[in-house]
Amino acid sequence: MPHEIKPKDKLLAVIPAFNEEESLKRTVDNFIAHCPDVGFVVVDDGSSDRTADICLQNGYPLLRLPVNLGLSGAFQAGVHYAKQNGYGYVIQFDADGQHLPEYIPQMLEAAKAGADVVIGSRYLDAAGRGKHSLRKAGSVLLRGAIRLTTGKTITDPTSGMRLFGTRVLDYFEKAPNFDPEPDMIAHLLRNGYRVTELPVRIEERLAGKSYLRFWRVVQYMTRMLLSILLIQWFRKA
Amino acid sequence: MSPAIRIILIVVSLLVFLLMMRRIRREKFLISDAVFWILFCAGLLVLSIFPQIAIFFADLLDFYSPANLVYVLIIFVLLMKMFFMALKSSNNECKLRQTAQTVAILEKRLRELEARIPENGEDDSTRQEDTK
Repeated sequence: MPHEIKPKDKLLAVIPAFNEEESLKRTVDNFIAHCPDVGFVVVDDGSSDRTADICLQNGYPLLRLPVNLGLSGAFQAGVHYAKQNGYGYVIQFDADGQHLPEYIPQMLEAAKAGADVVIGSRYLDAAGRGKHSLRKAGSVLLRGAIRLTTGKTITDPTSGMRLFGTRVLDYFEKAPNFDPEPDMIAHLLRNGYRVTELPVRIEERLAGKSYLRFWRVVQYMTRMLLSILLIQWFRKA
Repeated sequence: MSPAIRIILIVVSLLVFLLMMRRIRREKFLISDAVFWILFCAGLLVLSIFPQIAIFFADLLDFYSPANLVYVLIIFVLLMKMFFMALKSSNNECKLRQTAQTVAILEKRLRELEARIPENGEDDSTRQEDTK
């Protein structure tokens, strides 16, 4: 395994991939070029394309899920793997090239300085502020909900670029059904975990805004808002 | 309760009962899951054969008609059943996730172990086995 890095550095990048044959190699090679001393594992989420083959051909560490579990389930698999192999930090890293590995060392530094969760935020610096999109509108709503229930401001709750520290990984082990989503961030905040944000640039994905996509956003938002505003109160710490 | 409703109830509950029995025998329906449906059908049958039961309780609880009591009862029982089924389905989803994740982690270890065995080193036998 040429790219297998043992946990000396203690950070594992979990790269969930579902039918990502087109961008996976570019993303992973870019990752290795920028972060040669950070471990990573690709989680093939039951892809039907050549995602797994690409990993095997290139010697990428690969977890291959026998069925499609969705992003949360795939990320969870990476977290379990990280815990079993003694990693102290886990970062969620997109296979489609949206996340830039340049920011990982900074985020790890922030975690080592005492943050339990480090979020790569698109809206912390001036560059990301001007843009208006459906996604941003959703972020504003979730930001409000999180501020209302926890008193803390998370500028980019929907950012998928999140780094989790040891304490949170231990928590995840005990709560096997966590989803790495904004409601989890709110839940962690409420239970005294420290969440910090660092400004990052995230490449925009060229995705068509179809009707179906719109409804999925509405569903997602409904679920998140209900979870943050209501269900959280019934959740065990 | 009008005779029409009674007859419909009797016929329907008998039909459902027979259908279920056949399905339970033919398919891998766990007996513990079948118990609910058997009792549910039996309850419907009893209510349709002895409407006095429904009439008595409808009177007692001031229902407009015994049929209403029967409907309310059925809706309530089915609602509860649906809730518990949703709970179970959620539970199963969790178990499925955990199982799939464990399989993935073990498969990686197995693949790496097999790669270390000299005989298996050249031909990638793990790959053939997994891809259907």
